[in-house]
Parts: sequence; structure tokens; C-alpha cells
Amino acid sequence: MNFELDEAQRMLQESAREFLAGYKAKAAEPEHGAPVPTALPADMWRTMVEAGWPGINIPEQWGGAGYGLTELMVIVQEMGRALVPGPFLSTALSVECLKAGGNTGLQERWLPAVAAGHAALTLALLDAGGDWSPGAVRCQAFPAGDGYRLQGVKRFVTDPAAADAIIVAARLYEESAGPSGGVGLFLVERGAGGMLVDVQAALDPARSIGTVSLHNVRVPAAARLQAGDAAPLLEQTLSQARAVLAAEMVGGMERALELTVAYAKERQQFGRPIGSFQAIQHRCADMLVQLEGARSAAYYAVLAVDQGLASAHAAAAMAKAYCSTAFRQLTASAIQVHGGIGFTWEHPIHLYYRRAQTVEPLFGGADDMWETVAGWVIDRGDVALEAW
Amino acid sequence: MDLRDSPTDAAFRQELRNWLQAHVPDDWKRQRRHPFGGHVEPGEEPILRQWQSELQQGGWAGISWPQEYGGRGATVTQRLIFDEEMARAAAPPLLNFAAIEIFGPTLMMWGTPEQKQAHLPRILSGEEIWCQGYSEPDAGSDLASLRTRAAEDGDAFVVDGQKIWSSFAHLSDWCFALVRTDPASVKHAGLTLLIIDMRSPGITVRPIVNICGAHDFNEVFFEAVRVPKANAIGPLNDGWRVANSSLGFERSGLGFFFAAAYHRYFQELVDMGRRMAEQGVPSLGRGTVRQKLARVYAQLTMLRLNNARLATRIGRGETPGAEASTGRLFSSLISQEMMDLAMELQGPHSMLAGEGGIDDGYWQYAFLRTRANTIAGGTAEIQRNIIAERILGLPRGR
Repeated sequence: MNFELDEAQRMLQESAREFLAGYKAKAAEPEHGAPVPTALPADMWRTMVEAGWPGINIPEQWGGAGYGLTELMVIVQEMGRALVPGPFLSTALSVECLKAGGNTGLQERWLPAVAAGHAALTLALLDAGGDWSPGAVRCQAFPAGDGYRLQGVKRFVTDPAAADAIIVAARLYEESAGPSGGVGLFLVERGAGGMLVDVQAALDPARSIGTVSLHNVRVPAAARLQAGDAAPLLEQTLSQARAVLAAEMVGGMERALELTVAYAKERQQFGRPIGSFQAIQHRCADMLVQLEGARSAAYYAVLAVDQGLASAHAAAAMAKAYCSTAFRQLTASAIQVHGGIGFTWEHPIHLYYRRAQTVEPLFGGADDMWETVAGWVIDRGDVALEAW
Repeated sequence: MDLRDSPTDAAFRQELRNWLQAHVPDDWKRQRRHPFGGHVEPGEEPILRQWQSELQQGGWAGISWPQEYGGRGATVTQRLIFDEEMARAAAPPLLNFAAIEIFGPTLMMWGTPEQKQAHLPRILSGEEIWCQGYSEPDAGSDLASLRTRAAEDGDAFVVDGQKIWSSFAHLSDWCFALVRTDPASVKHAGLTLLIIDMRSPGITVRPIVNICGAHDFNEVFFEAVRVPKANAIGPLNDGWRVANSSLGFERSGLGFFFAAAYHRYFQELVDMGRRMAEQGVPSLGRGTVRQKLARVYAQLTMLRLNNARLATRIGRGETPGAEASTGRLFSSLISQEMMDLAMELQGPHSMLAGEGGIDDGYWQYAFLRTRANTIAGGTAEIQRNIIAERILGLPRGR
């Protein structure tokens, strides 16, 4: 039974936390209510590169640190705690997809560059609507010459402008017939003719979101990540994203609770700290219960996905759903405890609330995630205390 | 991180599984018993006494106890495995739960060699069944304000007072009670942990029927009951400290006892939902109900995972983290959510109780029974106060 971070992972966590404590999340003053995104200071990025973070989940043969999903989770959790902006997570998830896809040409071209901190990547998986599953992919990929022609609009893409290349999910079409049924994943480089990136104003200033439009974008055959139907690879990538995002949420929840408890100890009314009133105490206790459950859920999701357990997709969906619900409730409670000051732009607590709202739909909204879990529970024969 | 059993633990699990396969009474397996424990039907007492004795003979009673006292010195992980396998096998509960989990460890820590020798083996075998005498009508959450007094008279105490909520007092041979030995004291000071033979003259046990219509707990009246001074456990007038070593255990996050059993109830819940669907009650097909089921399952899994994290820390010799303190509160709330859902799954059939109800009213019993989970052993409000003050470090509010 070994279900806590090991010594090395804890050290990584401590050093990451200490380092990122130097980053103060804030959003520049809005002109019309929409927060202006902040960027990661260049010197911070340099330090992260020196520490090997961009290559944390890249094998050593490509200049990476050769670690896995758990170490990635540790870093991402700390970034979530500090609300660190930038394409780090998008890139790391894209790296997992590239690794699993098996296209060595693409791996050689991109993984060393990512490890050296020179390239960012992202995933463009969603078309219209809110269904992230492979079955809902509508963007089209037609054979063209010895490559493909991509046509469609990918929405709610994270870090689309910062990405040097984008992994696009498209349904494979025969030229004159209909869809062949399978899904393809294609790496499209920035500047590709016909690709338009449009960054949108978002509720969360710490995560860049936008649309990627593809008008007859030509890509070579070598840009395809995997032969055959990439739907299983897409499912795997989605589950990894959900699991790691759950950890990012746990980081945010931790910090929001810390700020709340610190405020409750400090703020005095009626001659005593407000943290001595039961209503406040009980609210904070409930926040802690949510946080500890969320932490377990995120650890389990990462473990299950990493080890390819039969429960992997359900575990990832469960973590995504639970953590997003808990994160939203916890940050709402956090604002409540802060009282008037929690309602000011200047205090950072609203940034965690904004983060909680906007991470919920990413890679699978809570409703869909709960339905995935329900399917796992109800439609299987036996849920009694399965072995892990 | 790895959730799989180590080879030693896998062997332990298999050994227990085999033993349970051979020993869980057939007639017990067949019948669906009352969930959430704490209930003994009149006809069940002999079966449960026999079960306790068999468990002890097989080496499975009090496995967490040190070997010198008849236990196995089982690790926390093995304790987790034990509770999982007991739940999987739908094994009968331990009648002597309070003595094995609460009083026994206290006696080991504070008892004299004579006291340990007299009682520990009999606790394990079930020869002595024990009840707890702590709460009083005016001393529940505020236990320290208890008033049952024990006046010194030669080589004995004379005990006068009243205890309440004493589970299985009507079946018990012995009671471990907190009494006030210093008449001038208030609150925590001046209390002593005293063990009292339930056959002593002057003791009256009066049943209290709970909202399920079941008799599990009791009022216990003490009228001039003579108790030898040698029955004090630990130092005189230091009983609060002595008892808190057990109360800490009872209120601790060791929801081990619950996580595994709750999964079994959940499996039964899903099975029941399917049967209701077959009978034309549409609940299981509804998105809202499916989502509630998924949420309950998620929380049950998290409870189990929190235990795994706790077991890992203890196994590494580390102090438990916050996950330890939230277990009791978390599990009690989950149980209530689960049984609310049971009612929903039954549609209008949820109105029926007793033998005419679904599964002979098992779910209606459970629905009512779970109200106690946020009250007994430390109310949810007290749990939240403790979490807020001791874990989050918020200032005491009084």
C-alpha cells in the first residue's frame, strides 16, 4: 500500500512550491470588466527550463528528465496553486499524446525542442457543442496529394497563440464518399496556410483560450500522429488531461483554503477573530473535507491512467467531475468568508473562483463526466470493492 | 504510488478470505441483515457470541492488538484489508466492538497487569461483552460536564447517577464508565475511568427504542452501586486524559470500519435500483439519479482512498495528515446521501416499510438509521469544530 508521494516527489513538490511562491497571481486592471491576461515573467520561465520542467515527462533520449505523469502532476498542482499562466500544461499533455502516437519523425522534431524550452504545443480537440468525445469530432480531414486537407473550427483550445504547433482532431473522410468512421490526430505548425488562431477574452485571466479555424489547411502525411483510428489515443489523451487538470484544481483549492483560513484568523469583528465563529469554522471544515477527497481523487486518476488500470477512464472522469464541483463550491465559500474584501478586484481570491468556473468544461464538463462514472458503476456487473 | 497488495499483504488477504469462506455461518449469509451495524435482533445474540468466539479461535479478533495481548499486531494496511474482506464476505459484526476498538486499547495503555490479565483475553473471546458508560442526559457533546458520581467508602466507590445511549448495555457483562470521583470538581478535572460489573446490585438497564423501532441502546441507572477501588483504570481523578485516548480513537478519521461496508451497501443499492427499474420504476434511467449515484460512488471511493493515504503515512511512520481527521465526518455524510438515494430509487415504493416493503424494509431501516451517523460518537458539528480548531488552527470559539 503506497498511496502518497514518495521522497523524491515530495522534494520536487517543495521546491516547486517555494519557487512559484515568488509568482503573485493578479490580473491587470480591466477596462470593460474582462480581465487582461498576465504572462509568465521570462526569467521565471528560464528557471523552469533550467530545472528541467518542460521536459519532465519527456524521455531522456530526447533531452527530457524521463519522469512520468506523477511528476507532471506534482508540478501542475503547484502551478495551479499559484495560478501560473502559460502553455506548460497544454504542452505537457501534447507531449503525452506525441509519445503514445508513435510517430518518431514528429517526436524527433518536437520533443527535444520542448525539453529545451524552445517550443510550446497544444491540443485542439473540441468542435461545436460541449462533447469532447471522439464520436463528436466534426472537423474534417480529406486525403489531398500525399497528405491531408483539414477543414473545420476547433473551439476552446488552450494556449492557441503561444503554441508552435497544434494537435488537431479531425474525422477521416474519403474524398468522394462520407466519413470513413475513424478519427485522425494531426500536428499542424503555426503559420500553416489557412489556419487562423483567435484568442478570446476569458473569465480566467490565467489561461489563454481561443478558436482555431482551419480552411483547407494542407498537412503532409508525416503530420499524422498515428495510423488507423486514433479514437483510443484521443480517449487516452483526454483521460490524461482530466487527471492532470484534477491535480491543478487541487492546487488551486489548497491555496484558496489557505487564504481563507489566514483571513479568518486575522479579521476581527465583535472583539474576536471571525474564525472563532462556528459558521465560519464549519464552512472551513467542509472546505477541508472537499479538498482531501479531491486530492485522493486526483492521485487515483493519475495512478489509474498511468498504470492503465481498467478503471482509468472512469477514475479520470470521476476526478474531473468531483474536483471541478468541489473547486467551484470551495472558492465560492472562500469569497464568502472574505466578506467585502473578497468582492474586490484587488484581492486575488476571485481569480481562484474564475479558475474554478473555467476549468470545469475543459476536456469534459461535469455532467458528462458524471455520466461516464454512472456508466461505469451502473452498467457493469459488479462494483463491490473491486481490487484497485 | 501503487495500490496493489504487497506479497505479505496479499497472503494475509487470501488467508482471511479462505477462513471467512469456511466460517461465516450459512444462515447469516442468506439473510440480508440490518445495515450500519449497532443492531442485534433478539434471536441473533447467541449467533454473534459464537461468531466472536470463533473469530478469536481463528486468530481474527482484535487483529490490531499487540501479539502479547492476543492480537496479531496487524499493520494499518492489514486492518484495511481485514475490514474489506469482512465486508466482502458480509460477515456478522463484532458484538464486542466497543471493547475491542475502544476500551481494550485503553486498558492496554493504562491498566495494571492484574486488570489486563482479568479482562483482555475475555474481551477477545467474547466471554465478556462490554458497554460504554459515558454520555448522560445532560452530558452529550459536553461530556466533561457529566455528573454520575463515585463517592469513596473504604475500599470501594459508591456510584450514583445515570448514563444514556449505552449500546448493548442490556447484553453486557461489564461497563467502562466515566464517573466524577472528586465531588468538588467541575468539567474535565476530577473524573475517573471505572469498570463496573453489570451484575452489581443497584444497576437498572432501561431500553430506549430508536427511530427505526429497534432497541440497541439504553439508559443505565446506578443507585448506590458498590465498585471496588481496584476497578479504577489509570490514575484517580485523571480519567479524562485516560478516556481521551479512547475517544481520540473513536472520533479519529479511522473510517476504516465504514469505507468497506459502505461499498457493499452501495453494490446492494445499485442491484436494488436495477430491480426497481425492472418493476417499472424509472429512477435508474434518469440523468439526475445516475449523477447522484455517480457522486455517491465517487465519494465512497475517495473515502477508501483517503484511508489508503492514511495507511501509507502510518506505515511510513509519519504523522497522519488532514485526511485522517475528515474521515468520520465524510463517511457519515456519505451514508446519509446514499440512503436518501435509496429512497429515490424506489419511487413510490419508498413509502412502504417492514415486511411489505422492498427487501423487507431494509432500505427504510437504513434511511432512518443513518440519521444517527452524524450524531453518535461525536456530532458532525463537533467534528467540524475539531477540524477547524485542531487541523486548520482557527481560534477557539466559546
